[in-house]
Amino acid sequence: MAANNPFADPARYESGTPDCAVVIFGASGDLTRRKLMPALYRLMYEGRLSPNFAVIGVSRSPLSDDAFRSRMEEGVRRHLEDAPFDEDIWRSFAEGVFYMAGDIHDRDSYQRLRSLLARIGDTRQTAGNVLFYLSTQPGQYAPVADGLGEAGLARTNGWRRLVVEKPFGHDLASARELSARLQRHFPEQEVYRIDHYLGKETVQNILAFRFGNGIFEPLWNRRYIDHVQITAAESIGVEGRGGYYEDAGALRDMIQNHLLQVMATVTMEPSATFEPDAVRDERAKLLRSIRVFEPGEVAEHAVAGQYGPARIGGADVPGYREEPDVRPDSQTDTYAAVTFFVDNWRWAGVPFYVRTGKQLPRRVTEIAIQFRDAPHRVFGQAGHLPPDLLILRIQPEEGISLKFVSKKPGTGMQLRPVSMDFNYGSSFGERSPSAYETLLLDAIRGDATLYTRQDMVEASWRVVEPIVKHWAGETFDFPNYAAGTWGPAAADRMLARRGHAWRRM
Amino acid sequence: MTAAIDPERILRDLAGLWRDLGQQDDPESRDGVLRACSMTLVVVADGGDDPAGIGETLAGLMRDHPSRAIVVRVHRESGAPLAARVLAQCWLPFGGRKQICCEQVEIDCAQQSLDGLAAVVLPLAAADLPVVLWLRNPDLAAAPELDALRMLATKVIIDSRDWQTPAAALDWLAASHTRAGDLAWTRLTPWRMLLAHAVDNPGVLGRIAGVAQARVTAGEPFGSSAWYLAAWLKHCLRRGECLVPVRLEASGAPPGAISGLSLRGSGLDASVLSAPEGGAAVRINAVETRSPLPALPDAALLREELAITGPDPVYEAVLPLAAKLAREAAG
Repeated sequence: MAANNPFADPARYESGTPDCAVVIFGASGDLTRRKLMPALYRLMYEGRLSPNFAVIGVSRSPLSDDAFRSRMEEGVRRHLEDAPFDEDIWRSFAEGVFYMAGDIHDRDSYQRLRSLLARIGDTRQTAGNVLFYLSTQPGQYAPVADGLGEAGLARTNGWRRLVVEKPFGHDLASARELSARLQRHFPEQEVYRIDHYLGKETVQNILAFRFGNGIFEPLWNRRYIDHVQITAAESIGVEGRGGYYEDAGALRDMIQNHLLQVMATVTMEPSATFEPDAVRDERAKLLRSIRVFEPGEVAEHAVAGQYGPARIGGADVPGYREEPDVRPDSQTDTYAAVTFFVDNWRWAGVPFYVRTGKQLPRRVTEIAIQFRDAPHRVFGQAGHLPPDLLILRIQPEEGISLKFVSKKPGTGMQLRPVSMDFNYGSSFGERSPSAYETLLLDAIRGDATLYTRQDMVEASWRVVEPIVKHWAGETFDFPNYAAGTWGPAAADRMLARRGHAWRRM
Repeated sequence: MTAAIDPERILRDLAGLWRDLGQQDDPESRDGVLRACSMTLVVVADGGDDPAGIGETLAGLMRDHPSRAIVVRVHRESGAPLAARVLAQCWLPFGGRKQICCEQVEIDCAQQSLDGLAAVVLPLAAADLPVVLWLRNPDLAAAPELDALRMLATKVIIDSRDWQTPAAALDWLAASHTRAGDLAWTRLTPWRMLLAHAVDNPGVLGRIAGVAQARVTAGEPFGSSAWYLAAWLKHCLRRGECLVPVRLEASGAPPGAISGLSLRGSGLDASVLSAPEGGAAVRINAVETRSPLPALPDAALLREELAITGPDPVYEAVLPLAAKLAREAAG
């Protein structure tokens, strides 16, 4: 809330948001209907958007404002998670929803957008503030930024911000090139690279957990932590996105962005303040500390996989190569596992095992921090005791669990593992906002803490690129894991070499 | 009372309760029962007060504010039963395992034994954690026998809507030596938030200094909420020693219910009005939007109050002003 708002009561309610218009390019796409509009509606429902707020959808299909509103209403009704749909609120929200048919490559479209923004700015009093959201193919990011810049839409009285979705380039060179194109018209501080993982409550809570408590940080280093496992498993295949996935692969699609950002959040040093750039500086510094493998080291530290056909629960599941738009001899990785190392004082020698894959047994994203064993077996167990684990669950149930051993009641000294769980959904009555609600609100408020900066993108590519290049020169014997299993055996061997094993999830 | 209800025994019963819960735990799952406690919540209610309603409210609070709840039912008749029992409120986090439980102690006592209540509650309060006292009944709130209990509390919560006159309730709260909360004030949070958000942009905030008049409309007779809202607007719009006039006007709303608030001045016409079909119409000059304005149950109101056990600067500034307005109106 503005510092001079006399009606503020920070003990009771959050601040409001500035008046603005959000322009969504690619408004007829799935992301707009499934994620963006439900998130914006929900923010309006909770009174977190200014009453003057406006949304302008831009896409090629000719549509009236009312037809666009109807489509969006259907999308909001269907995809609104965990929240009621209120007809009155929708009507009020929809009054601020507009549509413009336009071609991204046509200069005239930007001039028409400029006129429309001026008109809406007058009627809705949006103060000249505009958030441009590029929900288009990545290849169109630069042309849209050029179009906006050339039409004089990138700079005016109010603020102008540009939100782009991943991928931010397909390698280091293309990431730099994209950034340069965007920055011709939008300065870096107005470019918001969205990584929806960073908007998830648990990912944000990692910072609260680490730096808001005094008891964990002393343990958060190589002396007490044996290793860390980060898993992002999906139980589905490419779901009709074979064309996109053929060019991406698991390593580029998940590890280069989401999982390295998550790893950086777990391992970064505390920032002096919670100002956006203070936090992002620390995250960037950590990403720069991740060891970059020499070509000869990649095979030891990274495993590629691709799922093959299987019969699961009585149904035949096709292999990746049988999916539509996928080459029958595809070498694309649908599974990737990498052992990373952070070369700094805190983490030297601690392996970070990161894995992601499609068609794994269940959908789960977790970070498991495994602590070192007690140095001496006082209780003389014949078998090995399970390790102490701190689990940070990102999905499906966001929360934190601490697993440790305790004495079994009764005579004798028998130990058993117990779990202490904290669950977001059940520990706070308030519903957790979706990642898109959090990130859209942050962008409107100008808070870039959870957005990726260009130096972070480049640092991630530096780490991932040697693996991508090495794999491009290999011919894998794919498929090497069956759908519904936990990935290729080579990934198990990668951990076994250090005496570790993937957690059973 | 202290002779009849032994805190040591209640504590032993609580320990037994946890042993029982642990034994009911499925040995196959190897998950222990987790006790959660962030405060002690002492509820003092009239013996005739709806026990099911109190139980539902407490159950609704436990996930947000897991606490050791001590519910004291005060019976007016002499020879009323003296009894205490312990129970647990449990819920099922991930995977449907019984996992997290909170303790609840229920005490029945006679009114003439109230002066011994603090001696029972003190040893039962969870160590190192805040103690919040929710006084559901106006007569009991004012009872001098509960002074010791009030002194023990970090915060005392009442609902001034239930008091005979707003002036009496607000005066009582203003005179409290313990940090106070009033559910009648908490009910206003959605109204206040809607106005705060509506004006929260530089163009509108710049015009707040030009507000010449503010208005609150409410059903007659005015309740404490109306006086709170008028006092809040006066507090927010004050310019040094100069207070902007705030009119409190009768509307056709039910007695005590708020129906709207508005600000008028140079270049600014802002209002938040309850809409006949539900929700609120929020207007800033020519732009009007709709927002939900839900009637909040006690559990939701308490959830907000229990989240503030430290300073509550806006309420603490508004309370004396609201008490003064209500007192002046009462003559």
